[in-house]
Amino acid sequence: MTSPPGRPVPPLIEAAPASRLIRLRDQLLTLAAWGVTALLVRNALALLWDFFRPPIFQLSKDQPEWDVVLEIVLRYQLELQILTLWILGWALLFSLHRRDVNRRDPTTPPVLRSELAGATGVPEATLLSMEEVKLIEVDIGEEARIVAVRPSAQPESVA
Amino acid sequence: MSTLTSIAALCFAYPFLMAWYWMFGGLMFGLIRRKVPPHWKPPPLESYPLVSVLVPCHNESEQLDETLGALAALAYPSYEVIAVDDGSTDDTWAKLVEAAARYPWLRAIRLTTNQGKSVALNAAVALARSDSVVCIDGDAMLDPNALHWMMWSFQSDGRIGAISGNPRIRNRSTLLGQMQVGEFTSIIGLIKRTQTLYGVLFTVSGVICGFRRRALMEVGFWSPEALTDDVDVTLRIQLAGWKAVYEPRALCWILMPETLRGLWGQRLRWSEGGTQAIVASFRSLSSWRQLRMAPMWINYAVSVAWAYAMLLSTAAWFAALVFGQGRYAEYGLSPVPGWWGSILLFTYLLQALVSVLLDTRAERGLAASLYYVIWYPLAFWVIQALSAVIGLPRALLRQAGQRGIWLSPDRGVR
Repeated sequence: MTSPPGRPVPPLIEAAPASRLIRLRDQLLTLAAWGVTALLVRNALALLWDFFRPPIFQLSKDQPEWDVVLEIVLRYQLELQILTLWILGWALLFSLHRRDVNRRDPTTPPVLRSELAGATGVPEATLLSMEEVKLIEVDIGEEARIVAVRPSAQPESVA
Repeated sequence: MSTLTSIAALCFAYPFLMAWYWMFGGLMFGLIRRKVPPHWKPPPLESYPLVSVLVPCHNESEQLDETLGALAALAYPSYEVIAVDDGSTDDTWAKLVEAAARYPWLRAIRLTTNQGKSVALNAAVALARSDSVVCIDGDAMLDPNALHWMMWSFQSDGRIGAISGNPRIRNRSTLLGQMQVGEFTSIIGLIKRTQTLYGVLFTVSGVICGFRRRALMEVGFWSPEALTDDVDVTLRIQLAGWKAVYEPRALCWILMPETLRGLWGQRLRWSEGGTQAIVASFRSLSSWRQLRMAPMWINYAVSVAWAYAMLLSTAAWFAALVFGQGRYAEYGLSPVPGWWGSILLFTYLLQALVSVLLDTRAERGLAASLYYVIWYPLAFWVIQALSAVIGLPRALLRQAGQRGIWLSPDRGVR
Protein backbone atom coordinates (compact mmCIF):
# COMPACT_ATOMS: atom_id res chain seq x y z
CA MET A 1 0.00 0.00 0.00
CA THR A 2 1.43 3.39 -0.93
CA SER A 3 0.89 6.61 0.99
CA PRO A 4 -0.63 9.62 -0.72
CA PRO A 5 1.98 12.37 -1.30
CA GLY A 6 2.84 14.14 1.94
CA ARG A 7 0.91 11.68 4.05
CA PRO A 8 3.08 10.48 6.94
CA VAL A 9 3.21 6.82 7.82
CA PRO A 10 1.64 6.19 11.25
CA PRO A 11 4.25 5.21 13.87
CA LEU A 12 2.45 1.99 14.75
CA ILE A 13 3.98 -0.68 16.95
CA GLU A 14 2.41 -3.76 15.47
CA ALA A 15 3.62 -7.31 15.54
CA ALA A 16 7.35 -6.81 15.94
CA PRO A 17 7.67 -7.32 19.72
CA ALA A 18 5.19 -10.21 19.88
CA SER A 19 6.30 -13.65 18.76
CA ARG A 20 4.68 -15.32 15.79
CA LEU A 21 3.13 -17.83 18.16
CA ILE A 22 1.42 -15.14 20.22
CA ARG A 23 0.12 -13.44 17.09
CA LEU A 24 -1.25 -16.74 15.84
CA ARG A 25 -2.82 -17.42 19.25
CA ASP A 26 -4.55 -14.01 19.25
CA GLN A 27 -5.84 -14.50 15.74
CA LEU A 28 -7.14 -17.98 16.51
CA LEU A 29 -8.74 -16.79 19.75
CA THR A 30 -10.48 -14.01 17.88
CA LEU A 31 -11.62 -16.44 15.20
CA ALA A 32 -13.00 -18.65 17.98
CA ALA A 33 -14.74 -15.61 19.49
CA TRP A 34 -16.47 -14.97 16.16
CA GLY A 35 -17.38 -18.64 15.98
CA VAL A 36 -18.86 -18.74 19.48
CA THR A 37 -20.77 -15.54 18.83
CA ALA A 38 -22.13 -16.87 15.57
CA LEU A 39 -23.26 -20.00 17.37
CA LEU A 40 -25.01 -18.00 20.06
CA VAL A 41 -26.85 -15.82 17.58
CA ARG A 42 -27.47 -18.54 14.97
CA ASN A 43 -31.22 -17.92 14.93
CA ALA A 44 -30.70 -14.28 14.12
CA LEU A 45 -28.16 -15.18 11.44
CA ALA A 46 -30.61 -17.62 9.86
CA LEU A 47 -33.26 -14.93 9.86
CA LEU A 48 -30.91 -12.40 8.27
CA TRP A 49 -29.83 -14.94 5.65
CA ASP A 50 -33.45 -15.60 4.86
CA PHE A 51 -34.20 -11.90 4.61
CA PHE A 52 -31.28 -10.93 2.38
CA ARG A 53 -31.11 -13.88 -0.01
CA PRO A 54 -33.14 -13.77 -3.24
CA PRO A 55 -35.93 -12.84 -3.30
CA ILE A 56 -34.35 -10.10 -1.28
CA PHE A 57 -36.18 -8.37 1.60
CA GLN A 58 -38.70 -11.17 1.80
CA LEU A 59 -38.92 -14.00 4.25
CA SER A 60 -39.20 -17.12 2.17
CA LYS A 61 -40.77 -19.22 4.89
CA ASP A 62 -42.86 -18.59 7.92
CA GLN A 63 -40.60 -16.91 10.48
CA PRO A 64 -42.43 -16.39 13.73
CA GLU A 65 -39.17 -15.01 15.24
CA TRP A 66 -39.40 -12.06 12.93
CA ASP A 67 -42.35 -10.83 14.97
CA VAL A 68 -40.24 -11.08 18.12
CA VAL A 69 -37.48 -8.98 16.57
CA LEU A 70 -39.94 -6.40 15.30
CA GLU A 71 -41.66 -6.27 18.66
CA ILE A 72 -38.36 -5.58 20.43
CA VAL A 73 -37.23 -2.91 17.99
CA LEU A 74 -40.61 -1.22 17.65
CA ARG A 75 -40.92 -1.01 21.41
CA TYR A 76 -38.25 1.68 21.32
CA GLN A 77 -39.21 3.37 18.07
CA LEU A 78 -40.59 6.47 19.79
CA GLU A 79 -37.38 7.02 21.78
CA LEU A 80 -35.35 6.36 18.65
CA GLN A 81 -37.35 8.91 16.67
CA ILE A 82 -37.00 11.52 19.41
CA LEU A 83 -33.23 11.01 19.62
CA THR A 84 -32.90 11.13 15.84
CA LEU A 85 -34.91 14.34 15.55
CA TRP A 86 -32.98 15.84 18.45
CA ILE A 87 -29.56 15.26 16.90
CA LEU A 88 -30.85 16.16 13.44
CA GLY A 89 -31.97 19.53 14.81
CA TRP A 90 -28.61 20.14 16.44
CA ALA A 91 -26.79 19.04 13.30
CA LEU A 92 -28.78 21.63 11.36
CA LEU A 93 -27.89 24.34 13.87
CA PHE A 94 -24.25 23.22 13.82
CA SER A 95 -24.19 23.42 10.05
CA LEU A 96 -25.80 26.89 9.96
CA HIS A 97 -23.51 28.13 12.72
CA ARG A 98 -20.41 26.97 10.82
CA ARG A 99 -21.45 29.16 7.90
CA ASP A 100 -22.35 32.03 10.20
CA VAL A 101 -19.09 32.20 12.16
CA ASN A 102 -17.15 32.64 8.95
CA ARG A 103 -18.82 36.03 8.59
CA ARG A 104 -18.00 37.11 12.14
CA ASP A 105 -14.76 38.14 13.73
CA PRO A 106 -13.43 34.92 15.25
CA THR A 107 -10.73 36.58 17.34
CA THR A 108 -10.61 36.51 21.13
CA PRO A 109 -8.89 39.32 23.05
CA PRO A 110 -5.33 38.32 23.99
CA VAL A 111 -4.51 37.59 27.61
CA LEU A 112 -2.56 40.57 28.96
CA ARG A 113 0.56 39.81 30.95
CA SER A 114 -0.92 41.69 33.90
CA GLU A 115 -4.02 39.46 33.76
CA LEU A 116 -1.88 36.34 33.65
CA ALA A 117 0.20 37.57 36.56
CA GLY A 118 -2.96 38.14 38.58
CA ALA A 119 -4.33 34.71 37.74
CA THR A 120 -1.14 32.71 38.33
CA GLY A 121 0.40 34.69 41.18
CA VAL A 122 3.66 35.09 39.24
CA PRO A 123 4.84 38.72 39.09
CA GLU A 124 4.51 40.39 35.70
CA ALA A 125 8.22 41.17 35.56
CA THR A 126 9.07 37.52 36.21
CA LEU A 127 6.74 36.36 33.45
CA LEU A 128 8.41 38.79 31.06
CA SER A 129 11.95 37.84 32.03
CA MET A 130 11.23 34.09 31.77
CA GLU A 131 10.00 34.36 28.17
CA GLU A 132 13.58 34.23 26.96
CA VAL A 133 14.81 31.56 29.36
CA LYS A 134 15.08 27.98 28.14
CA LEU A 135 15.62 26.14 31.43
CA ILE A 136 13.44 27.17 34.34
CA GLU A 137 12.89 25.93 37.88
CA VAL A 138 9.56 26.39 39.60
CA ASP A 139 8.69 25.97 43.27
CA ILE A 140 5.13 25.07 44.15
CA GLY A 141 3.58 25.99 47.49
CA GLU A 142 1.21 24.00 49.67
CA GLU A 143 -1.84 25.40 47.89
CA ALA A 144 -0.48 23.98 44.62
CA ARG A 145 0.31 27.50 43.40
CA ILE A 146 3.57 28.79 41.98
CA VAL A 147 5.65 30.46 44.70
CA ALA A 148 8.97 30.96 42.92
CA VAL A 149 10.24 30.95 39.34
CA ARG A 150 13.92 31.21 38.45
CA PRO A 151 16.31 30.27 35.67
CA SER A 152 17.69 26.80 36.18
CA ALA A 153 21.32 26.17 37.10
CA GLN A 154 22.15 25.78 33.40
CA PRO A 155 20.71 29.00 32.00
CA GLU A 156 20.66 29.35 28.28
CA SER A 157 19.01 32.05 26.22
CA VAL A 158 16.60 31.29 23.44
CA ALA A 159 18.46 31.44 20.17
CA MET B 1 -43.64 -3.64 34.91
CA SER B 2 -41.67 -5.46 37.59
CA THR B 3 -38.34 -4.18 38.84
CA LEU B 4 -36.46 -6.96 37.07
CA THR B 5 -38.22 -6.22 33.80
CA SER B 6 -37.34 -2.53 34.13
CA ILE B 7 -33.72 -3.42 34.78
CA ALA B 8 -33.66 -5.74 31.79
CA ALA B 9 -35.23 -3.00 29.66
CA LEU B 10 -32.50 -0.58 30.71
CA CYS B 11 -29.80 -3.17 29.94
CA PHE B 12 -31.05 -3.39 26.39
CA ALA B 13 -32.45 0.06 25.69
CA TYR B 14 -29.47 2.19 26.73
CA PRO B 15 -26.79 0.65 24.46
CA PHE B 16 -29.33 0.05 21.68
CA LEU B 17 -30.68 3.61 21.56
CA MET B 18 -27.31 5.28 22.12
CA ALA B 19 -25.64 3.20 19.41
CA TRP B 20 -28.15 4.45 16.86
CA TYR B 21 -27.88 7.99 18.23
CA TRP B 22 -24.09 7.96 17.96
CA MET B 23 -24.14 6.40 14.51
CA PHE B 24 -26.58 8.98 13.25
CA GLY B 25 -24.66 11.82 14.93
CA GLY B 26 -21.34 10.57 13.58
CA LEU B 27 -22.70 10.30 10.06
CA MET B 28 -24.23 13.79 10.24
CA PHE B 29 -20.92 15.18 11.48
CA GLY B 30 -19.11 13.49 8.59
CA LEU B 31 -21.69 14.76 6.12
CA ILE B 32 -21.45 18.36 7.32
CA ARG B 33 -17.65 18.23 7.15
CA ARG B 34 -17.46 16.24 3.91
CA LYS B 35 -15.61 19.05 2.13
CA VAL B 36 -12.95 19.40 4.81
CA PRO B 37 -9.68 18.09 3.31
CA PRO B 38 -7.99 14.98 4.72
CA HIS B 39 -5.67 15.36 7.70
CA TRP B 40 -2.48 15.19 5.69
CA LYS B 41 -3.59 18.08 3.43
CA PRO B 42 -4.72 20.88 5.80
CA PRO B 43 -6.20 24.05 4.28
CA PRO B 44 -4.26 27.32 4.53
CA LEU B 45 -4.95 29.41 7.64
CA GLU B 46 -5.77 33.13 7.89
CA SER B 47 -2.66 33.55 10.01
CA TYR B 48 -0.10 31.36 11.75
CA PRO B 49 0.20 32.68 15.31
CA LEU B 50 2.61 31.16 17.80
CA VAL B 51 1.32 27.98 19.47
CA SER B 52 2.67 26.66 22.76
CA VAL B 53 2.79 22.87 23.05
CA LEU B 54 2.77 21.81 26.70
CA VAL B 55 4.28 18.42 27.56
CA PRO B 56 4.05 17.39 31.22
CA CYS B 57 6.51 14.60 31.98
CA HIS B 58 7.00 12.31 34.93
CA ASN B 59 9.64 9.62 34.48
CA GLU B 60 9.39 9.81 30.69
CA SER B 61 13.06 9.29 29.96
CA GLU B 62 12.46 6.27 27.72
CA GLN B 63 9.75 7.95 25.66
CA LEU B 64 11.16 11.46 25.32
CA ASP B 65 13.26 10.90 22.21
CA GLU B 66 10.22 9.75 20.25
CA THR B 67 7.99 12.49 21.63
CA LEU B 68 10.49 15.27 20.87
CA GLY B 69 11.34 13.70 17.52
CA ALA B 70 7.68 13.95 16.49
CA LEU B 71 7.54 17.55 17.72
CA ALA B 72 10.62 18.36 15.63
CA ALA B 73 8.73 17.17 12.56
CA LEU B 74 5.70 19.45 13.02
CA ALA B 75 4.63 21.15 9.81
CA TYR B 76 3.27 24.24 11.60
CA PRO B 77 5.62 27.22 11.08
CA SER B 78 5.50 28.90 14.49
CA TYR B 79 5.53 26.96 17.74
CA GLU B 80 7.33 26.50 21.02
CA VAL B 81 7.36 23.40 23.19
CA ILE B 82 7.33 23.66 26.97
CA ALA B 83 8.22 20.35 28.60
CA VAL B 84 7.68 20.15 32.34
CA ASP B 85 9.63 17.66 34.40
CA ASP B 86 7.40 17.06 37.40
CA GLY B 87 9.89 15.80 39.95
CA SER B 88 10.97 12.74 37.94
CA THR B 89 13.20 10.20 39.62
CA ASP B 90 14.80 9.04 36.36
CA ASP B 91 16.96 11.15 34.02
CA THR B 92 14.06 12.98 32.35
CA TRP B 93 15.47 16.37 33.36
CA ALA B 94 18.96 15.58 32.03
CA LYS B 95 17.41 14.55 28.72
CA LEU B 96 15.38 17.75 28.58
CA VAL B 97 18.43 19.89 29.27
CA GLU B 98 20.29 18.14 26.47
CA ALA B 99 17.33 18.46 24.10
CA ALA B 100 16.83 22.15 24.94
CA ALA B 101 20.35 22.81 23.71
CA ARG B 102 19.58 20.96 20.49
CA TYR B 103 16.10 22.28 19.67
CA PRO B 104 15.58 26.07 19.49
CA TRP B 105 11.84 25.67 20.02
CA LEU B 106 12.14 23.72 23.28
CA ARG B 107 11.96 25.24 26.78
CA ALA B 108 12.07 23.06 29.85
CA ILE B 109 10.60 23.63 33.29
CA ARG B 110 11.56 21.65 36.34
CA LEU B 111 9.23 21.40 39.30
CA THR B 112 11.43 20.86 42.30
CA THR B 113 8.93 18.45 43.87
CA ASN B 114 6.46 16.07 42.30
CA GLN B 115 3.07 17.79 42.05
CA GLY B 116 0.86 15.96 39.57
CA LYS B 117 -0.16 16.61 35.97
CA SER B 118 -2.54 19.49 36.68
CA VAL B 119 0.06 21.54 38.54
CA ALA B 120 2.67 20.77 35.88
CA LEU B 121 0.29 22.07 33.20
CA ASN B 122 -0.52 25.14 35.28
CA ALA B 123 3.18 25.99 35.53
CA ALA B 124 3.61 25.50 31.77
CA VAL B 125 0.62 27.60 30.75
CA ALA B 126 1.75 30.43 33.04
CA LEU B 127 5.13 30.58 31.32
CA ALA B 128 3.89 29.94 27.78
CA ARG B 129 4.32 32.73 25.27
CA SER B 130 1.17 31.99 23.31
CA ASP B 131 -2.54 32.30 24.06
CA SER B 132 -3.19 29.08 22.15
CA VAL B 133 -1.90 26.02 23.93
CA VAL B 134 -1.90 22.39 22.85
CA CYS B 135 -1.28 19.73 25.50
CA ILE B 136 0.08 16.27 24.85
CA ASP B 137 1.37 13.55 27.15
CA GLY B 138 5.07 12.87 27.51
CA ASP B 139 4.75 9.54 25.68
CA ALA B 140 2.59 10.77 22.79
CA MET B 141 3.65 11.50 19.22
CA LEU B 142 1.93 14.49 17.68
CA ASP B 143 1.04 14.20 14.00
CA PRO B 144 2.93 16.72 11.81
CA ASN B 145 -0.31 18.54 10.90
CA ALA B 146 -2.03 18.41 14.29
CA LEU B 147 -1.20 21.99 15.30
CA HIS B 148 -2.45 23.22 11.96
CA TRP B 149 -5.82 21.54 12.50
CA MET B 150 -6.07 22.81 16.07
CA MET B 151 -5.52 26.39 14.89
CA TRP B 152 -7.92 25.86 11.97
CA SER B 153 -10.56 24.96 14.53
CA PHE B 154 -9.73 27.88 16.85
CA GLN B 155 -9.83 30.32 13.96
CA SER B 156 -13.27 29.09 12.90
CA ASP B 157 -15.00 30.35 16.05
CA GLY B 158 -13.82 32.73 18.74
CA ARG B 159 -15.98 31.05 21.39
CA ILE B 160 -14.19 27.72 21.14
CA GLY B 161 -12.30 27.37 24.40
CA ALA B 162 -11.26 23.72 24.19
CA ILE B 163 -10.59 21.27 21.37
CA SER B 164 -10.22 17.55 21.60
CA GLY B 165 -7.81 15.99 19.14
CA ASN B 166 -8.05 12.45 17.80
CA PRO B 167 -5.84 10.00 19.72
CA ARG B 168 -4.83 6.95 17.69
CA ILE B 169 -3.38 3.90 19.36
CA ARG B 170 0.17 2.97 18.36
CA ASN B 171 0.72 -0.30 20.18
CA ARG B 172 -1.17 -3.20 18.65
CA SER B 173 1.03 -6.15 19.43
CA THR B 174 -1.49 -7.87 21.65
CA LEU B 175 -5.16 -8.66 21.73
CA LEU B 176 -5.79 -5.96 24.36
CA GLY B 177 -4.11 -3.37 22.15
CA GLN B 178 -6.22 -4.39 19.15
CA MET B 179 -9.41 -4.30 21.22
CA GLN B 180 -8.71 -0.73 22.24
CA VAL B 181 -8.15 0.33 18.63
CA GLY B 182 -11.69 -0.84 17.93
CA GLU B 183 -13.02 0.81 21.06
CA PHE B 184 -11.39 4.19 20.36
CA THR B 185 -12.75 4.20 16.85
CA SER B 186 -16.19 2.70 17.25
CA ILE B 187 -17.19 4.27 20.54
CA ILE B 188 -15.08 7.26 21.59
CA GLY B 189 -14.78 8.81 18.13
CA LEU B 190 -18.49 8.49 17.39
CA ILE B 191 -19.51 9.89 20.79
CA LYS B 192 -17.27 12.93 20.37
CA ARG B 193 -18.56 13.63 16.88
CA THR B 194 -22.16 13.46 18.11
CA GLN B 195 -21.45 15.57 21.20
CA THR B 196 -19.81 18.24 19.02
CA LEU B 197 -23.00 18.56 17.00
CA TYR B 198 -24.98 19.10 20.17
CA GLY B 199 -22.34 21.51 21.47
CA VAL B 200 -21.37 19.90 24.77
CA LEU B 201 -18.37 17.61 25.01
CA PHE B 202 -18.02 15.29 27.99
CA THR B 203 -14.26 15.59 27.77
CA VAL B 204 -11.36 16.50 25.55
CA SER B 205 -8.74 13.77 25.26
CA GLY B 206 -6.08 14.72 27.81
CA VAL B 207 -3.41 13.18 25.62
CA ILE B 208 -4.12 15.63 22.77
CA CYS B 209 -6.14 18.75 23.43
CA GLY B 210 -6.02 22.45 22.69
CA PHE B 211 -7.13 25.40 24.82
CA ARG B 212 -7.45 29.13 24.61
CA ARG B 213 -5.46 30.49 27.52
CA ARG B 214 -8.26 32.97 28.25
CA ALA B 215 -10.74 30.14 28.72
CA LEU B 216 -8.34 28.33 31.05
CA MET B 217 -7.69 31.53 32.99
CA GLU B 218 -11.40 32.21 33.45
CA VAL B 219 -11.90 28.83 35.10
CA GLY B 220 -8.76 28.97 37.25
CA PHE B 221 -6.69 26.60 35.05
CA TRP B 222 -6.41 22.86 35.83
CA SER B 223 -7.59 21.64 39.21
CA PRO B 224 -4.91 19.85 41.28
CA GLU B 225 -7.67 17.82 42.93
CA ALA B 226 -9.06 16.39 39.70
CA LEU B 227 -8.38 12.71 39.11
CA THR B 228 -9.07 13.18 35.42
CA ASP B 229 -7.80 16.67 34.67
CA ASP B 230 -9.18 16.58 31.13
CA VAL B 231 -12.81 15.84 32.07
CA ASP B 232 -12.75 18.35 34.89
CA VAL B 233 -11.34 21.25 32.87
CA THR B 234 -13.59 20.54 29.86
CA LEU B 235 -16.72 20.68 31.98
CA ARG B 236 -15.65 23.87 33.78
CA ILE B 237 -14.74 25.62 30.53
CA GLN B 238 -18.17 24.81 29.10
CA LEU B 239 -19.91 25.89 32.30
CA ALA B 240 -18.11 29.23 31.88
CA GLY B 241 -19.83 29.63 28.50
CA TRP B 242 -17.05 28.48 26.18
CA LYS B 243 -17.47 25.79 23.57
CA ALA B 244 -15.60 22.50 23.43
CA VAL B 245 -15.36 20.69 20.09
CA TYR B 246 -13.81 17.59 18.54
CA GLU B 247 -11.31 17.93 15.71
CA PRO B 248 -10.85 14.41 14.30
CA ARG B 249 -8.06 15.52 11.95
CA ALA B 250 -5.76 16.65 14.77
CA LEU B 251 -4.09 13.28 15.26
CA CYS B 252 -1.81 12.12 18.02
CA TRP B 253 -0.25 8.66 18.30
CA ILE B 254 -0.52 7.27 21.81
CA LEU B 255 0.45 4.25 23.89
CA MET B 256 -2.21 2.32 25.75
CA PRO B 257 -2.04 -0.43 28.39
CA GLU B 258 -1.59 -3.95 27.09
CA THR B 259 -2.01 -5.81 30.36
CA LEU B 260 -5.32 -6.41 32.12
CA ARG B 261 -3.95 -4.89 35.30
CA GLY B 262 -2.83 -1.73 33.50
CA LEU B 263 -6.10 -1.45 31.60
CA TRP B 264 -8.18 -1.95 34.73
CA GLY B 265 -6.22 0.71 36.63
CA GLN B 266 -6.69 3.17 33.79
CA ARG B 267 -10.41 2.52 33.37
CA LEU B 268 -11.07 2.72 37.10
CA ARG B 269 -9.32 6.10 37.25
CA TRP B 270 -11.31 7.33 34.25
CA SER B 271 -14.54 6.21 35.83
CA GLU B 272 -13.79 7.62 39.26
CA GLY B 273 -12.45 10.87 37.82
CA GLY B 274 -15.39 11.22 35.44
CA THR B 275 -17.89 10.86 38.25
CA GLN B 276 -15.90 13.26 40.43
CA ALA B 277 -15.92 15.88 37.65
CA ILE B 278 -19.61 15.40 36.84
CA VAL B 279 -20.60 15.80 40.49
CA ALA B 280 -18.37 18.88 40.85
CA SER B 281 -19.78 20.46 37.69
CA PHE B 282 -23.35 19.78 38.81
CA ARG B 283 -22.64 21.43 42.16
CA SER B 284 -21.23 24.53 40.49
CA LEU B 285 -24.41 25.24 38.54
CA SER B 286 -25.14 28.92 38.84
CA SER B 287 -27.34 29.93 35.92
CA TRP B 288 -30.12 28.54 33.75
CA ARG B 289 -27.91 28.80 30.67
CA GLN B 290 -25.69 26.10 32.13
CA LEU B 291 -28.58 23.68 31.89
CA ARG B 292 -27.52 23.09 28.29
CA MET B 293 -25.17 20.57 29.93
CA ALA B 294 -28.17 18.62 31.25
CA PRO B 295 -28.37 16.03 28.43
CA MET B 296 -24.72 15.17 29.00
CA TRP B 297 -25.26 14.80 32.75
CA ILE B 298 -28.33 12.64 32.15
CA ASN B 299 -26.44 10.46 29.69
CA TYR B 300 -23.63 9.97 32.20
CA ALA B 301 -26.06 9.11 35.01
CA VAL B 302 -27.90 6.63 32.79
CA SER B 303 -24.63 5.03 31.68
CA VAL B 304 -23.65 4.44 35.32
CA ALA B 305 -27.16 3.14 36.07
CA TRP B 306 -26.77 0.81 33.08
CA ALA B 307 -23.54 -0.59 34.55
CA TYR B 308 -25.33 -1.33 37.82
CA ALA B 309 -28.29 -2.79 35.93
CA MET B 310 -25.99 -5.14 34.03
CA LEU B 311 -24.40 -6.25 37.27
CA LEU B 312 -27.78 -6.87 38.90
CA SER B 313 -29.10 -8.66 35.84
CA THR B 314 -26.13 -10.99 35.67
CA ALA B 315 -26.38 -11.64 39.42
CA ALA B 316 -30.12 -12.41 39.06
CA TRP B 317 -29.46 -14.76 36.15
CA PHE B 318 -26.73 -16.50 38.12
CA ALA B 319 -29.01 -16.80 41.15
CA ALA B 320 -31.75 -18.28 38.96
CA LEU B 321 -29.29 -20.72 37.50
CA VAL B 322 -28.05 -21.83 40.91
CA PHE B 323 -31.50 -22.09 42.46
CA GLY B 324 -33.01 -23.74 39.43
CA GLN B 325 -35.36 -20.97 38.37
CA GLY B 326 -34.50 -20.34 34.76
CA ARG B 327 -37.60 -18.21 34.28
CA TYR B 328 -35.56 -15.01 34.62
CA ALA B 329 -34.21 -15.66 31.15
CA GLU B 330 -37.51 -14.53 29.70
CA TYR B 331 -36.73 -11.01 30.88
CA GLY B 332 -33.57 -10.98 28.82
CA LEU B 333 -31.34 -11.22 31.88
CA SER B 334 -29.19 -14.04 30.61
CA PRO B 335 -25.73 -12.95 29.41
CA VAL B 336 -26.08 -15.59 26.69
CA PRO B 337 -27.64 -13.62 23.84
CA GLY B 338 -31.17 -14.47 22.83
CA TRP B 339 -33.07 -12.22 20.46
CA TRP B 340 -32.36 -9.14 22.56
CA GLY B 341 -28.67 -9.90 22.67
CA SER B 342 -28.59 -10.66 18.95
CA ILE B 343 -30.14 -7.29 18.11
CA LEU B 344 -27.60 -5.55 20.35
CA LEU B 345 -24.73 -7.46 18.78
CA PHE B 346 -25.74 -6.61 15.22
CA THR B 347 -26.31 -2.99 16.22
CA TYR B 348 -22.81 -2.83 17.69
CA LEU B 349 -21.23 -4.43 14.62
CA LEU B 350 -23.00 -1.89 12.43
CA GLN B 351 -21.74 0.87 14.71
CA ALA B 352 -18.17 -0.42 14.36
CA LEU B 353 -18.56 -0.47 10.58
CA VAL B 354 -19.88 3.10 10.48
CA SER B 355 -17.08 4.37 12.69
CA VAL B 356 -14.37 2.70 10.64
CA LEU B 357 -15.93 4.29 7.58
CA LEU B 358 -15.65 7.70 9.25
CA ASP B 359 -12.16 7.23 10.67
CA THR B 360 -10.59 5.51 7.73
CA ARG B 361 -9.53 8.86 6.28
CA ALA B 362 -7.53 9.50 9.44
CA GLU B 363 -5.91 6.12 9.51
CA ARG B 364 -5.42 3.81 6.60
CA GLY B 365 -5.72 0.10 7.20
CA LEU B 366 -8.19 0.66 10.01
CA ALA B 367 -10.62 -1.82 8.50
CA ALA B 368 -8.30 -4.60 9.67
CA SER B 369 -9.21 -3.70 13.26
CA LEU B 370 -12.79 -4.80 12.52
CA TYR B 371 -11.59 -8.37 12.92
CA TYR B 372 -11.03 -7.72 16.63
CA VAL B 373 -14.20 -5.72 17.39
CA ILE B 374 -16.00 -8.92 18.35
CA TRP B 375 -14.23 -8.77 21.71
CA TYR B 376 -16.08 -5.63 22.75
CA PRO B 377 -19.62 -7.06 22.87
CA LEU B 378 -18.29 -10.42 24.02
CA ALA B 379 -15.99 -9.41 26.88
CA PHE B 380 -14.48 -5.94 26.84
CA TRP B 381 -17.65 -4.16 27.99
CA VAL B 382 -17.37 -6.03 31.31
CA ILE B 383 -14.28 -3.98 32.21
CA GLN B 384 -16.17 -0.79 31.41
CA ALA B 385 -19.24 -1.79 33.41
CA LEU B 386 -17.24 -2.98 36.41
CA SER B 387 -15.09 0.14 36.49
CA ALA B 388 -18.24 2.30 36.44
CA VAL B 389 -19.79 0.29 39.26
CA ILE B 390 -16.68 0.56 41.45
CA GLY B 391 -15.76 4.08 40.35
CA LEU B 392 -19.02 5.65 41.56
CA PRO B 393 -18.67 4.92 45.29
CA ARG B 394 -14.93 5.64 45.16
CA ALA B 395 -15.62 9.07 43.67
CA LEU B 396 -18.40 9.86 46.14
CA LEU B 397 -16.33 8.75 49.13
CA ARG B 398 -13.18 10.53 48.00
CA GLN B 399 -12.06 13.13 50.52
CA ALA B 400 -12.44 16.75 49.47
CA GLY B 401 -9.12 18.43 48.77
CA GLN B 402 -7.30 15.16 48.00
CA ARG B 403 -4.73 15.79 45.24
CA GLY B 404 -4.69 13.93 41.93
CA ILE B 405 -1.42 12.06 41.46
CA TRP B 406 0.70 10.71 38.62
CA LEU B 407 0.37 7.04 37.89
CA SER B 408 3.11 5.15 36.12
CA PRO B 409 1.09 3.89 33.18
CA ASP B 410 1.38 0.57 31.45
CA ARG B 411 2.65 1.57 28.02
CA GLY B 412 2.12 -1.71 26.33
CA VAL B 413 4.44 -4.25 24.76
CA ARG B 414 7.31 -2.63 22.85
